[in-house]
Amino acid sequence: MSAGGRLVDRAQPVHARFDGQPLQGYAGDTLASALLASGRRVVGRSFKYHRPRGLLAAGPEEPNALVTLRDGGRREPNIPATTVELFEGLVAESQNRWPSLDHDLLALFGLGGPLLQAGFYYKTFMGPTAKAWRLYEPWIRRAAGLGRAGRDPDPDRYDKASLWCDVLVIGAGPAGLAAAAEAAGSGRRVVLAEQTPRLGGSGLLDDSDAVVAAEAALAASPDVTILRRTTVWGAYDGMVLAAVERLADHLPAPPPDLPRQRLWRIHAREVVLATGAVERPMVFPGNDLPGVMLADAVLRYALLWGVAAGRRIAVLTNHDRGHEVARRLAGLGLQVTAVIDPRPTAATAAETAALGITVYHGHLVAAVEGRHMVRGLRLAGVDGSAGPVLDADTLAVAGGWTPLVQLASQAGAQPIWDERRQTFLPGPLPTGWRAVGACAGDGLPEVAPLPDVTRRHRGKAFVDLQNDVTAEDVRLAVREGFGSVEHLKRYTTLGMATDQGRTSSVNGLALLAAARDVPIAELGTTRFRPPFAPVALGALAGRSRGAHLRPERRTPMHDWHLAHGAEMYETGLWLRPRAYLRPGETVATAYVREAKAVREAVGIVDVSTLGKIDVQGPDSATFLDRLYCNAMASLPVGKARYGLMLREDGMVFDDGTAWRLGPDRFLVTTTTANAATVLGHLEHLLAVVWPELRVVVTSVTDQWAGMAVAGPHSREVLAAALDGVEMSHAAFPPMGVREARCGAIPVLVARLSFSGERAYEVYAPWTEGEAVWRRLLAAGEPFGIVAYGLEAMGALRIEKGHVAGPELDGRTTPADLGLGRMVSRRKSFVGSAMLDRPGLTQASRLQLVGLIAVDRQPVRAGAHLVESADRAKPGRSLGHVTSWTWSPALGRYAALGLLEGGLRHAGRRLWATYPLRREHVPVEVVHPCLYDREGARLDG
Amino acid sequence: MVEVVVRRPARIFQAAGWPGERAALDAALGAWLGDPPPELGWARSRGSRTGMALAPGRWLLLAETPALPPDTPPLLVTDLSAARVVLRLTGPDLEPLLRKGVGFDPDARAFPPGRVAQTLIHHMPVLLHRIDAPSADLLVPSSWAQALRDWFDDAAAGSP
Amino acid sequence: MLIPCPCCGPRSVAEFTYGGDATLVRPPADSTDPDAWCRYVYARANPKGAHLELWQHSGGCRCWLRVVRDTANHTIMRVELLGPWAEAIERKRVAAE
Repeated sequence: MSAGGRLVDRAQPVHARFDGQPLQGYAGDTLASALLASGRRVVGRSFKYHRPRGLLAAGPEEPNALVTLRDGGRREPNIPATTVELFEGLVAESQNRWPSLDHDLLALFGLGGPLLQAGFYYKTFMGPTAKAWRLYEPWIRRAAGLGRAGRDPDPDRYDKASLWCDVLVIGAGPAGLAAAAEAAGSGRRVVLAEQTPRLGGSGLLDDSDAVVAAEAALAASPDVTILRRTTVWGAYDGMVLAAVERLADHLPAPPPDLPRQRLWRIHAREVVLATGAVERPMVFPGNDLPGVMLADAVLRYALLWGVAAGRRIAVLTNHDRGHEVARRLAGLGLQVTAVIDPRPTAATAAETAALGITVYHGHLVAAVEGRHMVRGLRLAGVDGSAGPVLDADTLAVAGGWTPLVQLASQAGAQPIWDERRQTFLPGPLPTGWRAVGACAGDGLPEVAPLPDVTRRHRGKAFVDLQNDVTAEDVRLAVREGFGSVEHLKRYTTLGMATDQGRTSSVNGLALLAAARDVPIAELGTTRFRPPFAPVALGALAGRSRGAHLRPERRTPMHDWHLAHGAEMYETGLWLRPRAYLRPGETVATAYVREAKAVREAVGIVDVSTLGKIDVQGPDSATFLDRLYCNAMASLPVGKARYGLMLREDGMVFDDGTAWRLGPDRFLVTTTTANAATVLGHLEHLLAVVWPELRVVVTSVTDQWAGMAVAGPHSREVLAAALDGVEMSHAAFPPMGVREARCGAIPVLVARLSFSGERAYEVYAPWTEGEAVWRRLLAAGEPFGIVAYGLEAMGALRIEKGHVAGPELDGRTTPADLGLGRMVSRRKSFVGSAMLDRPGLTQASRLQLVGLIAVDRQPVRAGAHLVESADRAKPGRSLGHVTSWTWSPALGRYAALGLLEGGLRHAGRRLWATYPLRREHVPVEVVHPCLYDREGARLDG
Repeated sequence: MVEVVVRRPARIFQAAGWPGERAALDAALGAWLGDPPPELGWARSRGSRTGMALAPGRWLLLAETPALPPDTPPLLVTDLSAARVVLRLTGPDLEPLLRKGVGFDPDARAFPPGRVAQTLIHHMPVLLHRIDAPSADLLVPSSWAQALRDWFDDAAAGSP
Repeated sequence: MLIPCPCCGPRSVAEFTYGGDATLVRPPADSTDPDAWCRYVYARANPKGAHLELWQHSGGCRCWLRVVRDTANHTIMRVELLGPWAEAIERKRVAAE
């Protein structure tokens, strides 16, 4: 059209490219309106059959005109061209065609129709051999489909935020604007979400001045938040809704300070559904040809964008509003030649005829003539009689209206069939929800049910345009027994495309009802689930990507570790040093040097990550006695004890230590990994099981930095660095706990060893952690002190047979781990009642053993232990390897494992088999303590 | 725009007790704070000292200058002076920024000055204390101090 | 799913840790009845509808709660505070009403 278009500014041309060709539009155009204005009729090729397709609609419900925008990491396929705001330099590509839209060789698939009907992958392409499908499938996949996703990393930022409001209004059409104004007027916090860039909805077609005024009033309200370009896509429990705001998709690229999209989590007290309704197409042979459009879309293109959809327009409708649209189009200057109406009469037919438009009552469209676009319409009487052939290039179809009830359905409202309006209405809404406007059925016309023209007239009549589902597919599904709505959907894929059946579900149900000869009202609908419209994965991730995926926990010595060559390792949320690499070293060589230094001189390791729990109160000792499998109430003040906590089922839950700092005060340590779970366990026992106990537990993991000083010279190092404590063996025996000072800094010291060497754990306040670490290092320099990391720590404890995480896998009891003597028989404790179950005391249980490699091959964790020397026939698994290392002390690979019957096999040769790596390694079964069995290095 | 200033109060104590001794608990807390202890979910400040009621029977006491802990008994006191870092956030965009991470409505009507709330921000346990309209204190365990600062820098970059 | 914590108000389930079936009765500590212990440790009904269960507000006040939740639609029907202070809080709440 030479003029007009309420949303368009013809003074601002915009230049874009479509499939490599220049495309000119104006500011305010969508890609669809610009394509239509340029005369391009074929805008896509259908999913399965590669049929040429044109625009059906003017909004997000568009099923055909799917394009790919941008490239590289910003490439995004399957975008309806009707939702793309045209910007300068926009580059768009059509999809699913080769070599081009107009000449698509893959349309030959249209000839294979019968082979590709609904459910074909269950029936065709099945032979000649069982594996033949694997040959067909890649070709079928390549031939069919939508767009191709990009493979490069997405360079854009996405944001995420929550919003709390009293009223969430979804949709800024006339009803939504009114609801928002009313809520704002009563002083409530309102959020108004509109998926298009402009407020107004259908109001833009009628009184756009009223829209402008309403918008201004809302914008001036302090408690109203207007979210444009924002789609509410999910309704969740607790009145929480998810929405995505597209901040920069209408720009060539997001400006540096703007995220591309923002995901909103909206907490509302009330939800007003004002999502409107979409027009319903009709099902007849050839109804997918370019030029067959929704009547409302033809009106919008003319009124909002000043584009005439065609030169000779016919209107097909079964309600009075369709006649109105025909008259309105004529009033705008478009050539409307006919109105085809299956009803015998229409209220305003005379007015229509008065405008020179021929009205064909009692007629339907039986076929559409044309190959790449509509050229003519062959009518037929509803009684089956032949009808005239009309000359037309556009058919505007007005088949009724379908309220967008999806969000209400997600919230649990079952849609209800309305016979008068031939559509589904929202149904009884959950508390706090209400529906207004067209989506509640207001103003929707009374619609005559359509006779099924496809029974008498041949040719593909499409129900779901995007997934190429035809009326015959629906009848086929019913014949084959897939007649329930949920089966129909899954068998034919009707409603499963990116448009989620917006323009197809009601027609599909009508055909299903006819095929099964039941009323539509009895069928029900399929369950609607989030998302209502496609959501970018980037938006769901928000800012939780890359370095921000998980928050890292750092110890006070973190910077020191980095400055001294530490290779850091992420364990849980903590960062810990694996080893400290000197020039020329790898982790493998570094940890060997470190472990040797610990055994031969002295080493220091950061153990700040261990869980630490402050336990206080008059019943503390009683509580710990009930918690650990070994005696704790008897622990003297100033002593620490290694303890095992079991689960209620008798399995070992965590191992750690308890230090008695006073008659009613303990410090409990846990493994790093279980710190949070152990604290929760203690809190659970005190709140739920024994609320009468007077005990307070508090996490002090972040209060104390911990470092272990281990090795033959550890005593001398502490003696040099600390004051206020007597370090002699007699004054400070193993398991002792002492207070001391490092300079002015108060520290706690416990003589505990994980490494098997003489060792002390020094706990300093977190803020002084690095200072105390440095002083210990300085004191240790004359002795050759070395900082060691996780790998060395692992090697040392494996050599001593000390169990850790891999052995505490939730299936091992204390006895399995060789710690049966720790279990007290004189008290009940968590897990004690279940420990004596026959299943937990069988001799054949997997029990802890040591394993030494016979030759130079590694004995890996996860390898299974078998008796057979034959890698190809390993036989039954007798157990598995849990922790492994190259042992510096032994000079060979060594491991701990769990073996059926445990140490009954001591001295035997078995094989550790690892089929994934084709390894079959001979090992000798030994006592788990591989080094210093007597513990002489520990004491004294 | 929100400004972040990091500090460590001189002393942080957790104080706990049992309901049977409510009067004695209130007296001990009151003596330390110089004012009656606050109600659950609130903070009360007096001079350089602040008391916060975090849960039934559990209070957090902060002193910006060195101070002794409150009396034991009837309270059981745990020293957390090294265990928490405080981030003071100030600026007109305080609420939009908090809405990117906290699990409750930070609007001044729902979270007014004096209110405290405990929540997770990006998996990190955080205690928030609303100081006035544009500012709030966030207490986070020391091991997460850097991660929380990084999170705020990143969240603020995404604009309100 | 939002759980209304009596101390902190309604919060997302992401702030809570599930604590198991609250209908279970832990046998007395000195009991050696294997059936009673096996029921406590293993046997669980799996009702559709109201379920009495334990939750801890681990990302908030760290209180333990006994909750009645409808397993079919996540409606939280009742929440009670547990622990030594529960009775005192409840008495105070009743007195205030």
